[in-house]
Amino acid sequence: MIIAIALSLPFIVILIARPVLRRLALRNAVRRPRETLLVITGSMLATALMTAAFVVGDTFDASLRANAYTQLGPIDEVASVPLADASVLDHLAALRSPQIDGVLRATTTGASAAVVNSAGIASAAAPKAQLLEMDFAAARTFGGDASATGISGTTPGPGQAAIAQPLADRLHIGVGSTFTAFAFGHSVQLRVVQLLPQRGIAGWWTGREFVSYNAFVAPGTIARLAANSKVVAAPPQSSVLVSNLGGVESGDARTAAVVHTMDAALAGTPVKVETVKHDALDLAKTAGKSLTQLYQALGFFAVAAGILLLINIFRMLAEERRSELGMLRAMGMKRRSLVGAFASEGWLYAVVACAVGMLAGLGVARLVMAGAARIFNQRDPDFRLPIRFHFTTQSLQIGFTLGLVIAVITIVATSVSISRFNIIAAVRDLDTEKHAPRRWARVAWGVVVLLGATLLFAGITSHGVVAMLLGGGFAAVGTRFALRDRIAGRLLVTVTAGSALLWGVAAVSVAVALGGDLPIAGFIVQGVLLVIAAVVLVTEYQGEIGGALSRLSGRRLSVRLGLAYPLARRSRTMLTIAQFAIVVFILVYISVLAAMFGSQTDSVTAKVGGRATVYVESNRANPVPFGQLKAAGAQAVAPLVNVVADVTPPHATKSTKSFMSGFDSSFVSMGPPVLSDRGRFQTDADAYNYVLSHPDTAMVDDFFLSQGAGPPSAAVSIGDVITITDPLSGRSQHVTIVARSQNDWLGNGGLTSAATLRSIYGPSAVASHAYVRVASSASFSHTLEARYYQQGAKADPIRSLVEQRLSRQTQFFTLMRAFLAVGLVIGVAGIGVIMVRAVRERRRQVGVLRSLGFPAAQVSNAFAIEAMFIAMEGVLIGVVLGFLCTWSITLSNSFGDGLSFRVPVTAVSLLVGGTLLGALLATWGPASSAAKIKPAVALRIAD
Amino acid sequence: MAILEARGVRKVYRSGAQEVEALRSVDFAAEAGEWVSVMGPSGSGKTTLLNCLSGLDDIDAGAVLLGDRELHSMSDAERTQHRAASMGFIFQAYNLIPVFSAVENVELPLLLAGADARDARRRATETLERMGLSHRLRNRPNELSGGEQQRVTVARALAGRPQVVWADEPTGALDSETAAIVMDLLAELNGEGLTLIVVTHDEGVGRRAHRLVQMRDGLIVSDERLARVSA
Repeated sequence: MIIAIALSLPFIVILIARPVLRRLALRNAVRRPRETLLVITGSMLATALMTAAFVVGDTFDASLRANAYTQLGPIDEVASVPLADASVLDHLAALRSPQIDGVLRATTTGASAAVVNSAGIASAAAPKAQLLEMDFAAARTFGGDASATGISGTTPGPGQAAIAQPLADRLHIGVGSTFTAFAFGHSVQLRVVQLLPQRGIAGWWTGREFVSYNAFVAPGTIARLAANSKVVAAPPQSSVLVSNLGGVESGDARTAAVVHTMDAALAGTPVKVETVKHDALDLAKTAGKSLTQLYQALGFFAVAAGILLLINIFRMLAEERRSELGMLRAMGMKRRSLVGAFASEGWLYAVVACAVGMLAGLGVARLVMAGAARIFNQRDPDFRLPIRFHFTTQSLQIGFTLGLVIAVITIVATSVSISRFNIIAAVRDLDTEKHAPRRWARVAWGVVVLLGATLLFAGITSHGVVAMLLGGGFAAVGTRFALRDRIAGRLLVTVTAGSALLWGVAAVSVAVALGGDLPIAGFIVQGVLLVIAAVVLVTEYQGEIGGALSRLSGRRLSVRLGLAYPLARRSRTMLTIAQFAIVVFILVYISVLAAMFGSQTDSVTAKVGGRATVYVESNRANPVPFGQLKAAGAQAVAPLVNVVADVTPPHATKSTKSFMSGFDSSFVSMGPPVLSDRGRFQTDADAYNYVLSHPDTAMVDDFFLSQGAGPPSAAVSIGDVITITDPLSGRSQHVTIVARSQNDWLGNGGLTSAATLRSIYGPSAVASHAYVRVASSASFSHTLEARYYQQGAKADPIRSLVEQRLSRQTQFFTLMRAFLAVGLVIGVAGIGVIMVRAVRERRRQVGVLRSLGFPAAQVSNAFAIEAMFIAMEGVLIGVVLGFLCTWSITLSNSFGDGLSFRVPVTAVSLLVGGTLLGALLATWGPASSAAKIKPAVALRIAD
Repeated sequence: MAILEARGVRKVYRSGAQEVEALRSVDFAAEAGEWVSVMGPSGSGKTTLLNCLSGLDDIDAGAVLLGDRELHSMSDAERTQHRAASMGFIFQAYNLIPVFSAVENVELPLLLAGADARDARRRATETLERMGLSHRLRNRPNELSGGEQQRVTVARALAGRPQVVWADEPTGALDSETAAIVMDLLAELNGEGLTLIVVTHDEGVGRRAHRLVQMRDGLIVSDERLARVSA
């Protein structure tokens, strides 16, 4: 906000201290309210999009941050060991420190829960439940705020359970009802004595789901279930929970100090302290930030359109007031004052536009989040993130300030540029003569060429697509201006813009071929470069395009007149075309990607499932006996060990939580998922077999360790060494990545051998998941879930999982398109502004035409044709570039191989039709008013 | 025979509550092939008379007869068509379309009258050649001098071979030499049968007509038949 105020100060000073400039700025601003409204509408949209991007981040941050209250509350750190080793934690349990305000012991195990009738049939089941034991009196005092713990009442007695509300809802039970918990091959019937909210300790959940199916049971219940178990299962855990002094979030500030104290208390043991609160808050922050960045990056295209609109508006204002400005200069007004008056008027528009845009941004974000909530609601209920719309005043301030900074810089630069006119030429409304470039300008452009060449070279050697694209762009622009008086204009423009266009399309493929990738920044630079090059090229050949269209129309007069103005006012036309092109480009790009990804069901199913057809998950504490599945009709079964690991990527000091899955030879023999990069191996089977026989190797996908949206901050590549650590025991192992798997659509995490995970996790590494090949996926899945409800079995046809994922992905693309469609409003508003001004500028000419016998309908037709021509060119450039880029991406396999280019005919038709219709509607008013101009009135006013 | 006759034409300009009576029941007639000059001080109603009689502006009372048809009873489209077919206009400020070249400006009324594009271009070129502008066909108005622009305007007014040409201060923006050239041209065309109605402040221009109509405060105060003088 300080920046916004500092930026505004010069204009405030001008408006207060310079009465003449104030009068000029204020009176011009209020003279034509309708146009002022259009200018503000066009200018506010950029601020709205930027604000919306920040508020989307705030909302995701708040939604994830809410987990700190619902699933942790006062719990800041946790240290866990297998129940059998509980005594290891005795010393920690007795810990006292001025940094902490609570230490609590707890015993937990994964389980499944069901309401079973007398015939042994489950009427309701919760496959992923958790049994917990703790002293309720101690839990309530934990952290100093009883309400934050969610715990009330007394510790359940034998056969009793206090259950969290989500479990009650899932099983359709309440106080007094009974249900059965299953774990370690045993079961226990429990009577509900109390319902607890999903909050604090009552909501403490050790999995990654957002829902806590918790059942608090009497001390000793879990040990009895685990005793004499014949099932190979993950053992129960004994944990010590620690609460840092301070509130749910404020206590995080003491995490480092408390961990230090806890580590000292655990000295000599392999136990690792988990900073659960810090990790949850960190995840919220990371996810919120990455989503803000994603939406900002997408919004950049619309913001660029907004900047072009501002430039256009101010150039038109200057053209309209040219003789007035010339007179002011003739009367002795300094150029500096002229810039001051013009920029102050612009600042007035910008302040109002940014304030309105900031509020509009809240509305845009609200719509985006409503769409996001719909998408999340299609996920597995356990992983549905409850969306809590939230914004911070800081985000609003940043949105406002960014909008104002962009607007003011654009306005001041444009004001300076338009203040450089010849006074006589301005007063007499003559064309300004063009001068040959000065020597220093030629040298400066030469430096730009050199800079471009250097960047290009650096980009190629480092495989950096951003530097490659920027280098090509700078070289082309520099060459264009350095040689403009040496080489014929058309030849020079054709060669430089054409080269930039070709390079813009090819650079990504070249970078990918060299081993680089396409980051979001590269995508933005590519879009901007292509649009600039294409628009410049089209503008150079406008005469030919207009001539051809005129001939096509049989040289109809309204067509010739409609085309004459855009062809004559090329810089204005160029800016407006670019407004449309840049937004349509990104919309088409996303539409094609959505279509390409959306049509991949068959190929993705084959890749992620291999030859399996069903994916099975079950409770780690009571897994499905996979050996029995063949008897149930499975043609092949490949069990997987699935664990949660702390993974430390190379060169990182901090670990990230991730799933890791361990496979055995049955996985390879069944036909495993297809690898996206098998490294040095000849076949996928060779790579899998190598991992099986080398316990220090693993495979990961592109999004391994990703948190929030977009790729992970630390990408793991073939040849990298990562460290896998068991968070319970602290045991770890370094493994080398030898191949890359397909995107992890089934949630396996990294892949290594089951033996490797067993060596790290010991008895906790149980085979709880499996790939299964069956003849009829749907019926098998249904039967399996019914038969193994005690094991918490969840079976899904892989095709169905892929379809769900693709559907969510498609909807996410739709959400992005909706967000970006706001940018089209800028283009449409731009056309509206131009047409309103055009009618005003040409009143006299319309009067002349009407006096010559030009029918009113043809006048409005000519204006409509003019708007359509500009919009159509912009839209066509955007569509063609969008297709070109996505097509080149398919060729280079930037988004994975096997992705085939696809034209989303309906989506693109709607986009093109909608944009043109919007432009036509925006032109309707000005065109109609032009048609109504009385010839004598127009001539009288003008003369 | 009168090619145009105005009876009791009244025109009032309104701005808020204020009314200005620009024409007060004016009667006027012009014969085919006649050259009528309209003179008078600023605000006397000269341009308003031209606008109302040519159909560019509406009237509040009276009638303008073109043969047996009343101009202001025609629809806007009919009046527009009539202008395209039988009228030409010359303005003081040239009023050329800046994005069209000289030849494109001149062929405009021909195309509006429904002429074939090739024929329109040929006739426009011929007319410009007659105006001595054969070397300026492709130039846009901002590339022409004031005299050249006015000659293009005259060419545009004449290219469609209209029955009547209305000229509002045709020499107002020209130096005396160029003004004489333009007026000689108009006189030559009038000699070929063109009806010419010229609004002017310039006594010399006004006195070259067959008739000189003087206006004051929205009324025709004199209507004098003149002996033609040569340039």
